[in-house]
Amino acid sequence: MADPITFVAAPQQQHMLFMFLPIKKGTFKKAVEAVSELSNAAKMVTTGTQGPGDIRASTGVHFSFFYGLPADTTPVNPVLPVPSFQTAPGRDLLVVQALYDADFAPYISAFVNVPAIAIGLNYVLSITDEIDVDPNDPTSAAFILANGGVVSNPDAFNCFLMRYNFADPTLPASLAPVSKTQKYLFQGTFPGLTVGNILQNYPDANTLWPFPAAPIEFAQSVAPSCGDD
Amino acid sequence: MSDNYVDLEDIQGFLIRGYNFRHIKYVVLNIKNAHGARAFCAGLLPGSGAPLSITNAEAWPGNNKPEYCLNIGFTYYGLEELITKPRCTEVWGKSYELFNLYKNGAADANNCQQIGDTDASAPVNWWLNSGGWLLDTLPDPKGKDLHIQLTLFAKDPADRDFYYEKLLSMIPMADGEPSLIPAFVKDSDPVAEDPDVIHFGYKDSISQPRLDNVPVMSVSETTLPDDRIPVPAYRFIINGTEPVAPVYNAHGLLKNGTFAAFRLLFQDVKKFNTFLTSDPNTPPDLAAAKMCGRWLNGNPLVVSPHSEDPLPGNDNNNFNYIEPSDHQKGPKADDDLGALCPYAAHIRRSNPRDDSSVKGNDSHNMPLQTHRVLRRATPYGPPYVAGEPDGIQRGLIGLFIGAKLTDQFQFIMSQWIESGGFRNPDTSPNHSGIDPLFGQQIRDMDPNHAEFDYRKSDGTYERMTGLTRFIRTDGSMYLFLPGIKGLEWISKGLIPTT
Repeated sequence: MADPITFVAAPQQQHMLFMFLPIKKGTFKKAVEAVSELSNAAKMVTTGTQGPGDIRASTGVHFSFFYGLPADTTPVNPVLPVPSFQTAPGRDLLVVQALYDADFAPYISAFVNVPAIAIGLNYVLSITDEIDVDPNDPTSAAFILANGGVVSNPDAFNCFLMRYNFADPTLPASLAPVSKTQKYLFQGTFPGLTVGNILQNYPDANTLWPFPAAPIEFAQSVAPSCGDD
Repeated sequence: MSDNYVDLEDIQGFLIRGYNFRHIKYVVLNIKNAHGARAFCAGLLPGSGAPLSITNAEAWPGNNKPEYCLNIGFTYYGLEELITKPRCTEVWGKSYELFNLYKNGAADANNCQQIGDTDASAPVNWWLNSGGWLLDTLPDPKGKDLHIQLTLFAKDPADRDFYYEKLLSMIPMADGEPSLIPAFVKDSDPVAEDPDVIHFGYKDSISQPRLDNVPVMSVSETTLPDDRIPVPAYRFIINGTEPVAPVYNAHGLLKNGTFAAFRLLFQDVKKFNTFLTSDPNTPPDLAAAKMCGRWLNGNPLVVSPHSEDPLPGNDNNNFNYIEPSDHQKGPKADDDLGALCPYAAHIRRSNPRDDSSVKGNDSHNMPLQTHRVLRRATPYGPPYVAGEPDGIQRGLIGLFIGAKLTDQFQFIMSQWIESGGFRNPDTSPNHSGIDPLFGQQIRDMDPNHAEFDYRKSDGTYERMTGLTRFIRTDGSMYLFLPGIKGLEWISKGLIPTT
């Protein structure tokens, strides 16, 4: 007989990454393709010398979101009647949002340590436009790339990411605010329900969502009718 | 990797051998005068002609053990005193991955939260509990008054005192005062006939990493089957010039050096023994074995599921948890379920070997072996006597060595020892909680951390509740252990150009 969850340790918490990365002008499409391929690679990592196998539990990613925006433009689909995503002058923007389990460093290291994924992360660094960061700063994209890439600089890469992360990596998804001073409200319906716990405890989880993933077809969803076409 | 990767002359000796001296003195010095401190370091260089010098890794002539061995490390605050802040910053900039945690120091709040140095183990409580604090002032909570750490190994207490006095005699005077003064000193002596036995009663120091392409020093290791997968030497010996270590970048000052966590760990034997006898369904010796993964005599559970005589040779180290190693004895079972050795057991948590279901474990995948630590730690304080008065201080003191603290010492402590979610899948009732030899901190509210569960032969779990904290951190420092040439640079107050 289980008891209600009244305490969630850090490795069991869900956190958010919400990153606004300045990238070189004209690269936003490639950037989205690259991070999309990264996401797919994480789902298909093979075992043995090619990779560590199923990393879903160790990465703990519940959802991820990628969006690219050309330099000096605003989103056009749809055109919102308020300002939303915006670019730095002369630079494209890559927006990355993810919900993940545990602390930030082990979450990122689970990706960095997979060679195929590390190549993709290095590509993202190569298109990052950090004109306002000293290239001799060990956490700069230029320095990381010039000194072995993310594999040789995982801690510096964490700090690089944090420079553009709006989210607070210590703020867990919770049923109610955990602090009066938290900068945004971040709610989760099932605190403590990690990807690892889902794989372990949901009936037939590894059959329903096998690794590597089986192709899934999604039926058409319906948008609300708002009076236009 | 080149066979010439390791320059034995330039490496501190205790990186590749444990010396097997029974009496050790751990010394932490406070720098009063940087010029004098640099002169002291220069005197410690091999060949300087001073009374004592740092022991390097060269073979001992005739395989005769020297009268003493001596090794040295520096805190970041100490390094700043010796080579100045700008030079420290220059080294940091070219060694970010290796230097960042070291620079922040062991008392850094973020680090302490990760590795369990909270509650009674928090830095504000360090250095005074165990005795041995010698400065007139209270310890600085950030460790700013701790600069140089020396480990002196001797064959008996008299020799230890003799060489310690010689060491102190090497400290230059400046303005009528010693350039360095002892801030903390602690002796380590065996607590049993076997010097490897620790206060909790276990035989320790059995499974140390075997470094790849490094000459072995022990005859037994050369003649007996040894299934340990070699660990790349760069995990323990920094090579600053050859591109053989893509896992980090290093400034030339770090070449042939490494880093370490110096730990002073109080062990509450009375509380530990009480827990061992707390479960009516579990004999104390079985409880001790399940919590550690080894019987008190060092036999691993996956090789000796039942208590037996001590295993010979490397039989107590030749094993895996999933696929039996080449020379593994015993049942040679796939212990994927943790039926022999619980996932929670200390040795499985600190070195999961080939269990790839453990988060972040790459020990099965050469040449990674990212998370291994070399231990040079020994007991301090008197042996426990049942019925003794409360408050007697005893525990474990020494160095936990690895080139990259974040991947090695800090990772093991934060991800495997002190936090849950160790393995997936894990069907134990408490998801294997935390390392039971450390136990639950007072303010840790996770009910899974308050018990130790082990799987029984019928597939059910025995739940030992009431797990409390048995180990308290009474002191901690992150140290840079330079190579001999690195020490020479430090003694000049300079650094190489790259």
